Amino acid sequence: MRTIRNSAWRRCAALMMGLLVSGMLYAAGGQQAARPAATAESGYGTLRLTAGRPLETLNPHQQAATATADFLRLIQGKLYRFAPGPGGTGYQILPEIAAGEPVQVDDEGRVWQIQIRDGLQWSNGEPLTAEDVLYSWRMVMDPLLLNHRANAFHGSQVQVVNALAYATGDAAWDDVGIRLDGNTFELRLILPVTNFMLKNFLTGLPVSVVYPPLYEAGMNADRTQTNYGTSIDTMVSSGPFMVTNWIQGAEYTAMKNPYYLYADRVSLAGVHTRVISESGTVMQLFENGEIDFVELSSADFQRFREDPRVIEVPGRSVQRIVINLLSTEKPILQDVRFRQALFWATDRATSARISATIAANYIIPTTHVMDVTDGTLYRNTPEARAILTPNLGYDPQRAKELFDAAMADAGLDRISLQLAYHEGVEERRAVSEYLQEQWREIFGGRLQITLQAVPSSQLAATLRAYPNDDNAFELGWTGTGHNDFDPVSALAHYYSGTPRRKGPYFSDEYDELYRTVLQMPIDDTQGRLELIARAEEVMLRDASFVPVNQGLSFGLVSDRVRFATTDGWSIALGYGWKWAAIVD
Amino acid sequence: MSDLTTLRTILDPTEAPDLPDESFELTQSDRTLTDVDFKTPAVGYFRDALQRFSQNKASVTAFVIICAIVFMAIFGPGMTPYGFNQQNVDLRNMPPRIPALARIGIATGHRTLERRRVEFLEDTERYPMGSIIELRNPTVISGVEVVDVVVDYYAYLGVTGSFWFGTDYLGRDYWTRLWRGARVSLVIAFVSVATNLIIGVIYGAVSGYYGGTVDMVLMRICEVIEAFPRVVVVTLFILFFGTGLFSIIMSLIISGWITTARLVRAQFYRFKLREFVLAARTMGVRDSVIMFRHVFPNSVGPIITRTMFAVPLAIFTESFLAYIGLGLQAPEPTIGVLLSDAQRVLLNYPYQSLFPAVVISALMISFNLFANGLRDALDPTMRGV
Repeated sequence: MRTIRNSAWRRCAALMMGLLVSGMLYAAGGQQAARPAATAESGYGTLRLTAGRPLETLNPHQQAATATADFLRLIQGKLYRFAPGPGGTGYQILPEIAAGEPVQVDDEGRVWQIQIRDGLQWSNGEPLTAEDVLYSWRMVMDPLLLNHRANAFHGSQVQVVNALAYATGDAAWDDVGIRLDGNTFELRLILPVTNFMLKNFLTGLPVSVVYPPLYEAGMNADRTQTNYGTSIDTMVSSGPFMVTNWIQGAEYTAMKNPYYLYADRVSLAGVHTRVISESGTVMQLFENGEIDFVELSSADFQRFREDPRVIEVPGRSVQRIVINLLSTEKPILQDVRFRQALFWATDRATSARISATIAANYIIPTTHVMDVTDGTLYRNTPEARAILTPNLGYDPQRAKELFDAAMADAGLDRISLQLAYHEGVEERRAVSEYLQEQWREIFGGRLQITLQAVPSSQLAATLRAYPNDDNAFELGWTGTGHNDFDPVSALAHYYSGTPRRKGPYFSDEYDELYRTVLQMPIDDTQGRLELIARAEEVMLRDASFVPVNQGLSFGLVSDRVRFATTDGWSIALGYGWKWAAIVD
Repeated sequence: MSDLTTLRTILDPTEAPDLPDESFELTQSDRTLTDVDFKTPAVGYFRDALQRFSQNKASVTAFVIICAIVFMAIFGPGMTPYGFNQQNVDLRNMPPRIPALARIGIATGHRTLERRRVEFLEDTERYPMGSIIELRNPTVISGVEVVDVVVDYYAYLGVTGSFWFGTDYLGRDYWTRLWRGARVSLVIAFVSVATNLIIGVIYGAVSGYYGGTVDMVLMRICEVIEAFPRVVVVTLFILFFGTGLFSIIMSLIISGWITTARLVRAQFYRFKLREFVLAARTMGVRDSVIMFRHVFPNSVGPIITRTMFAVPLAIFTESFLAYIGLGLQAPEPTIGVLLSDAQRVLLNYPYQSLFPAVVISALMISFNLFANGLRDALDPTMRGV
């Protein structure tokens, strides 16, 4: 009897198990069948990244840090957007909020019309209109708000008429060269621009759109401040992704925006970013398979240099030592021979080896595109090559002669200078220590360099303090990023009329060249190239900066990530995370 | 009157029993009684302490270690042909190689080069003959065969000499920098502790000896100074005086003397009303002489103990400050600076953390054990507390 009951129990259990397994298989099959649909609508896979610094804001008018900009590029809608080219090669500029190409109205390229697309939506489903764009542009340069990005419409080659005057409160909004007629904007510019330059400008974060109802709701009584973008509840997304989670100082997440115009091109379901400042921890997470990308330090690069997953990325600025030629305490810094001695005494090849960077005896970095029609890089042109000094600008004998001559005229036997460098940037410190010893050897111990580590923000403030304090610094490291598609933008920083420059440089010849190149016909590429090269040569000759190296970073990307472009990284798209896919 | 009668009278004549003198006999009346000289040398306070200290094996060992580290801090940098800032950028981050230990597999100068492409292993330009020791963990990444290659890094780079403790990120000899750093750390510690001692003793003596309003005011000043956060004080010093020994030492002094002052004050409260002080005062001895000649010597034991405890604390504080970026400026090393640099490459070059960590640990433990031994020796009542 017991045997019979046990047997029945076993059969019953087997039947139940069979049903359970069948159900699980059916469910799994159902899930597999449902996955493509989910991929199309909500994307597939979460890209896992880290950021070294916390997200500072979700307001594109206020963002300053790179990590913040990287995230905002995922969630902000723009008039135009860089996207991978056909077949995953190169790039293209897609009209996003704009309905199509900008239309040149005049002959010179100073008046343009842009039509706004109908039927766009914010990530909350509300319609995104041309009025929203107008509101966003007006607010970014609002004279009361004093946004961090208030120079959006007057800080580059694309300078809207009276934008600066409006931002400083010297002109009314009606005087600004932005008009909206129906769905069409008309922009009146001070300087001529090309179609590409205008579209490139409109891919920028500062001119992306903000959600007017929340921007207004967050305004204080005297309209000098808004809390827009201070939390995920005080902003609305309009880009490929929408922000869904933000734990201050810890992590933030963006999920695919189903209302995005090109949602079908977005493969990812989301991007999750953890804030981790310790590079060793980030490396550990990558090796444990918990994140998909890690930027390698120079020490880590030595470890992974032959790893096929390593991607090499040139930096967008040249790291240089600024010389305070206004110094009254060290007047020898005003002597161009002394400054040139420092230039010629710098062994850039070794400095680059120490810091895993590119040796740079130039000011305009290798990433700058001179001709967007064929992708010619400025540094590859004969004109730019012709101004480069031999042996990467390293000639100890010449440096010694210049140094001795300057010291003799100044009546000095020895001199001590302080070199300030960015605290926490190990590569910069290593090169500083190397130069300290190298210069001491070349100049026979007559030049003593003392090093001072300074927080980045403080160093920038110190270098900018020269208008009020002649002796704010003696030597200091800096590097300024520019618009890759506009080599002239690299010259702007050295023009005497540019505000908030990091370090003094004054040259009538240079200023004249800069003004001339800005006024040149925009299609005269050769003429512009010659003037840019000439301006760079003047700047190098005057040696108020000692260029040392151009940044070079290395990324290690997980095998589960598939880039949308064949190169993995490009000048236009960067890593192009928003277009990447996950293949588990 | 006989001596016995006199004695009776002195004792108590009324109570004394009436005993005849004949019942008593004077003893030892045949010789003169005097103090006898010690047959062994007299043992003073410090000699007694030294004897007790020498019986404490842990403290003696600690003292030997301290002496060894101080010796190395003085002479270690001179034991190699390299200067502490002598750079050789071709030999960056060399692993340690000590020929005598290499035979038993320690400090061999080998390094594992991770994920190297198999296709390049035969290339003698990359891997000179005899440089490859072992291949490990062959795998395929993104369709490329890679393997971990254990190489003799000295043969790999064609280096004939040896760096006992390896080199740093600019190819500087780590042995030289470590002992130079230990020297600077010890100088910072000793100078700051000595200064704290002088200030603390004088301040505490005045406060404890005079007491009353003077004591109250001086102690409140201590509390105010003690309330300043150390990191803020260091930052301010660096802001005004720049980075360097002066700022670091001043930051250790600014409130470091207060503990010593409190200790001395307590000792002075303890001794200032004793008879010998009263006697000195009665004889018109000046206050300063009473304080530092009569009272202070009685406080020396606790002060020495406290000072020995303060040395490792100062070394640790300097290392902490260096670790958070407030240490000496490059290229001058201290143990803290070396540790701060090394932790950033801990996963890649762990030896750069190991050596300064061992030295600072040995210093900390040794000074603490040494101070414990001194405390037990100088004040036996505190033994085991």
